[in-house]
Amino acid sequence: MKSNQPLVYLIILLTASVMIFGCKSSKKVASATTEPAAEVKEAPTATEKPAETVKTTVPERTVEQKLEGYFDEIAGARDINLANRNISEVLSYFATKDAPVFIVFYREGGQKDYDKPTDIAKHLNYLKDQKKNPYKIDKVIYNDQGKIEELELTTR
Amino acid sequence: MKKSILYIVSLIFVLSIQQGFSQDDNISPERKKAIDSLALEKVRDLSTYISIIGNKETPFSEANRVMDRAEELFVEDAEIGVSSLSREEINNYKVREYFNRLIQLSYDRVTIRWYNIHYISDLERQPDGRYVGVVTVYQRFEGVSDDGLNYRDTTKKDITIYVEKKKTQIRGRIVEFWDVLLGDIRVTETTT
Repeated sequence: MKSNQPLVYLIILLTASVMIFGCKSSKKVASATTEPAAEVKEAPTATEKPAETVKTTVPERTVEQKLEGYFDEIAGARDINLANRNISEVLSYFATKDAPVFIVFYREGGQKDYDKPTDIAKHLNYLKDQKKNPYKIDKVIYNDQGKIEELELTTR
Repeated sequence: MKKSILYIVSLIFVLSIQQGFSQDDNISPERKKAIDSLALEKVRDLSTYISIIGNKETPFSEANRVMDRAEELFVEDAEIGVSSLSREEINNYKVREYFNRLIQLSYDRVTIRWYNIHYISDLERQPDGRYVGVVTVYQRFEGVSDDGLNYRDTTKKDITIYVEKKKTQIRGRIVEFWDVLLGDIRVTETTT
């Protein structure tokens, strides 16, 4: 029995250390599981936050951007009906389909050289017929009702 | 004293007139290049319009609208020459008449393509202030019918270009613009 004493001490020591380290590691596990749990909890907030950020940092497209998009779509429309549908939508932004469109084709020393003025209906049909949109929007003038009454374009 | 005042006034008058002329005459090479490009673009636009008008798949209402747009590119009374491999003479038609004949061609499919569009005579300022030049284009015409009636040719055409600075009043505002108009289109060569 005496000869087994060191073995018993060793077993007790091992058991004690296992218990001690077991508790510590379980604490670690616990803390490890609680921490990610906290992260997970935070995660939705973390995902919500960027969503909020997206809402605030990516503003709704401006009318100019929408028009640019429409112009490209009309120029690239596969068929006449699709182009005509887009033309109708664009015209709803304008005070009248005769709203003047000025096209600047050259600038020098603060002076602008204009192509022959056209109107928005003709310009949209031009994009449809020619299947090209070589211009970008330079200036938009609105009336009191928020409708566009004049557009200035410039060659890209 | 009076003489010198008169001399100074005369000098100012002459200089102001000179400046007035030079404002109109002095166009920088870059600006002239932009005007050249604008005029060439009008010819390319016409090319697309003619292709749409000739295309049998174009709805009649669209073709009519395009004819209006295309007609606006020309000076009044401009003519377009029409040739054929089967005859020597060249017939010239007023622009609208040419478009109407084009739309009525008795083929089932018509394709018209313009290429190699370039100046053969640069835009030069004339005494009346207009710029006049000549652009050459090559046109490939193909008419195909289901009953076997086929015709193909390539024509070389010269187009006179007129560019003039004009003024117009829009919404109570005077706007200066460059008006590019196409003159007669003359056939200079017809090949297979």
